Amino acid sequence: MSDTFEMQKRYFTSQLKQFRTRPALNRARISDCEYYIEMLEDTGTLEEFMARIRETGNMVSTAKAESSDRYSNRAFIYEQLGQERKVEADRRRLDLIDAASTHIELAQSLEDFEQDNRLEFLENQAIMAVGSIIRAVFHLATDPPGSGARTRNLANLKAYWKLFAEADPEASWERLLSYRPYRDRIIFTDEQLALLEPVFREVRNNG
Amino acid sequence: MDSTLKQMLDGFSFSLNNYSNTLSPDNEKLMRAKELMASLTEKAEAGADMVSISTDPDFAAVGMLLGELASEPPAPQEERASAPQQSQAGSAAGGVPPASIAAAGYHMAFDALPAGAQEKQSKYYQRIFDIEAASPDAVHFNTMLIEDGVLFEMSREPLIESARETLEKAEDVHSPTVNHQQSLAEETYAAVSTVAELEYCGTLMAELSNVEHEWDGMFIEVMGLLPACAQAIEAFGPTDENVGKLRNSRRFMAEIWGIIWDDVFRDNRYLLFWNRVFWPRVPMEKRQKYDVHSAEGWRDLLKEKFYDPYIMDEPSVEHYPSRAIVSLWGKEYSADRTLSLLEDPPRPLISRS
Repeated sequence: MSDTFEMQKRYFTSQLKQFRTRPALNRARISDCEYYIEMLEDTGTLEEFMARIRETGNMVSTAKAESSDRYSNRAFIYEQLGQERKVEADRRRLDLIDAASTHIELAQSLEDFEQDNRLEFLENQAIMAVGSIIRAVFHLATDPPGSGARTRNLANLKAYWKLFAEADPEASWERLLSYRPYRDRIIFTDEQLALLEPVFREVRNNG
Repeated sequence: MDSTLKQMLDGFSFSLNNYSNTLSPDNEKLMRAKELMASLTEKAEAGADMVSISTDPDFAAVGMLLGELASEPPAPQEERASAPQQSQAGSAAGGVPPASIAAAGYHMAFDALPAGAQEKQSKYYQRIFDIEAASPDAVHFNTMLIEDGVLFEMSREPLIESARETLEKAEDVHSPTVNHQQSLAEETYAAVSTVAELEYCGTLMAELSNVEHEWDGMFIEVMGLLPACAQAIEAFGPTDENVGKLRNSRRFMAEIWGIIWDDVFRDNRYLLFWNRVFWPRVPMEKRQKYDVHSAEGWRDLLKEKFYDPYIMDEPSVEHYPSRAIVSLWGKEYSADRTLSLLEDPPRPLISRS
């Protein structure tokens, strides 16, 4: 049994060693491993350690730490890229993870959240519409009045603007240029976009 | 009873015995779970196989109850049940289950794989089963699994393989953004050492690549406007609409990007598209009709027959290379650098520390 007890220590120390290769990405798992290593030292025997594990929620802290690292790392990426709705979704998940005290509560609260969550979907819907909107405006700048191409590009612009506005209540030309996830997808400089803006205004004003 | 099925039922029994050590004997969920286990064991002993047991509603109910029991608060010491059935679950000394119980899920997962996937995954599962055979108990098994790294390899290697396969297929797509993403993915995944890092790098690379891929598509459409207008005249005739579009486009491209026809065919990114993607799709009958057999020949045909004749009387436009600027990742670059920018994109530095 002492061999098994030592092996149990190795289970956590081996994981800790791996997590410490990129500590910034494994913050919660590192402190979780440290917690269990300390618990092993406190209890001194495998039987007592296992009893303590049962009393402290059957390692729910590990499940929480794993989810916490996942969503906190994602939130960091989306924050850096300026995708605010995705950051918001991950922050809400982190709050739920933090509040859960059992395995079931953790799984159930995250599952309940996903049932109603449309934040990432809306972010992606708006982002996907940007390219089509700018392309339609670019073509409208050269389509002859009354042409079939103009009719098609007007219809495209209308359809994609509708999708964009559904996903982003702040939809506007200024928003296309100022919200980083949209702006990053546009090849034009601000000066070039200033040439496209009147085209956009004209067609939007005319319905 | 089938050995994998036995391992699985032993695993359930072991968990139930554990809860018997910490919960009151009249805990309703515990009692119900024990009843269901007895029923499942009876069916298995009577010859029911893995499929019929795992699709039995009692099986799902036991799984659910075991999950719920994990969240039950322990009963006070004096109210706890003893666990006389412990030996039935095949536990090793001190209440540590044998390795076979911890490994039961892997046997089940392997057995459930379709034949092709089994063959592909067998190297991982064989390592897991070898570790199981070498482990005196579940604690040794779990520790050796972590130290061996096989579980991490099972997550990582398919991603590396997929990046490699996509990269091979990307040769036909001639997309600098796909090439860059897949080369980077192969290199990055090979260097990571935890699942969290794998997920982080995967998400970050995908997000950055999505932007560049879409950006590249817009660049090709904008840069290719003049040839597209000439191509429309070739395909649908010199209608007022097509000629009007060509003339407007010629003026507008000079205004917004300082670009004229010849500039388009000096751009390396556009040439890659024209030579490798567009030209191979020009139908054979059209090549024969015009007696044109190269991408350069098609370019010259469009210019001579479907572009120049329609702008002859138009006011001249000048090209202004200084206007040919693109915005990528928040910075401005000369448009003629586009291909090299996409091959080695000036991505924002995002690193969690």
